Amino acid sequence: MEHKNDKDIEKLFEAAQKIEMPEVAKRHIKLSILESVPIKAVKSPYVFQFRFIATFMLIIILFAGGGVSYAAEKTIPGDMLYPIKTKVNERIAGLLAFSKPAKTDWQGRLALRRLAEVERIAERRNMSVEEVLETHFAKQAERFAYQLEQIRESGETENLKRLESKFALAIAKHQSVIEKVERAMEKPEKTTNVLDRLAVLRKGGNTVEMSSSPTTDLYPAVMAVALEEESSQKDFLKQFTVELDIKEQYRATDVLDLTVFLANNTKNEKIITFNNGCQEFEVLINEYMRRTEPEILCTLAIVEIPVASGEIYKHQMTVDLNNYRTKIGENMLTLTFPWGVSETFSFEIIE
Amino acid sequence: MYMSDLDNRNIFSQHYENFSDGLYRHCFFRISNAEIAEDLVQETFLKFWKELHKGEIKNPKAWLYTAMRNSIIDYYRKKKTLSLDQKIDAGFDPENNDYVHTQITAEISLLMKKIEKLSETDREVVIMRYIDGLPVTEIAEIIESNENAVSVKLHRAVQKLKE
Repeated sequence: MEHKNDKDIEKLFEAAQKIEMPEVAKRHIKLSILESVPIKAVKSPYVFQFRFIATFMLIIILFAGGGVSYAAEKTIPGDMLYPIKTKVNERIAGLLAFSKPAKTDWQGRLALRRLAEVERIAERRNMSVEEVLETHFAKQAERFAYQLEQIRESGETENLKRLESKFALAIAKHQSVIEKVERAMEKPEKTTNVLDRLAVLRKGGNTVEMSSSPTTDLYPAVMAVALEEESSQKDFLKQFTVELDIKEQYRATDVLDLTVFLANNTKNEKIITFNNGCQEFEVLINEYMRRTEPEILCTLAIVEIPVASGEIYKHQMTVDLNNYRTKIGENMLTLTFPWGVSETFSFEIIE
Repeated sequence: MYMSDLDNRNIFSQHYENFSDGLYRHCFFRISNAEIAEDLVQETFLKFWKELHKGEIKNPKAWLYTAMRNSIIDYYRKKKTLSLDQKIDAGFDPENNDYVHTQITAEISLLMKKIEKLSETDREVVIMRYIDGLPVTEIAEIIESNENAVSVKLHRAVQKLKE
């Protein structure tokens, strides 16, 4: 179709003027900025925040969509539930990544999720693995590279190193796909972009230099460190308990007082870093029924709290219901913790 | 002038409601990526929020567009992107892509393909003028040029779009 005259071009511009930012993103961005701590930078190790994003996702999915969302996790493009996977599950999990490192981590995870789908897509569509990589994976990996580059430029070396080693390890699990692409290197004009993107995940953002030597040599050392971290985190989770105190009924103009108890049952002092405030977003219950529910999602304020071994820390936080679109009747509030524990409460709004 | 936090919040909210969709649209057509467009809008408004705490901003609209422009330049500087042509050769189809949200119609995808063929500077002024609806004077201010040069650029770019 060719548009050769002025009217046709005008029509195209008119259509373009109707593009708007998706409502969920629009509200999320606004609230995340307004609830951020202005000017004053807060130093944060972000350890829990980005290590357990996947756990958040599973928990939230269970609350938000139950079986449908969970079933969607195993789909690939073309499956009926695939949009639930990318537009609901991943979207919600993405919204929980507030900070730059958490966002970068999530982008990396998305790239790995796309990579995990590659072989099955290639099989189903009778395409070569490298073709599918180019169309299905490269763009997401590019996005990860961009975020990583920003972290590099901001000089957050601690976070950069952590992300680098994490994704170098994760990419190793997809070695069979990588090998197929590497075998196809005889046709470099077709695969260069994909290899660049893979290199990003392997080496932490270095998109320019692609080493042709096998990177497996790098893995054992990195893997040992990562596994050690992983297991101590799991032990830690088992020994950390949380209790919450919330009433059953509130008025729409009330301010909720939430009391959170954190008990450190480990042998050492733990520094807990929390995220910021409460945000409201739509939870898409079922894409086919187009039913959405507003939900208030709260994380705790940005602070670093040292909790000594054996101590119980009591944390007060408030949620001003005036800021949210609560309705008379049942409402949902989800409280998430940066280390992956999440609790959802139903409360009733009365007149 | 001293501004309270509440004042700043109100000012921020007002400008966010007025300009976020426009900035998103601008960014979306500049980089052909809906999700990075969201990131850059967030980045721009975060800068705006911080700037508000330093003092009054004389022309918020121009400030926001200039900040967004810098973020886009930064984005291009930091990474090499595939051109849309390369993406299409490789099987990327803007009309049938999960990445781009559901507002993409056949008309928009045709426009994206046409715009993608323009040079970076031509694309910028065309989007500002015909999609963002900015007057030539404001465009000249934002891109630090003069009205005459902007008009010439626009004329040339539109001719290319009609090809």
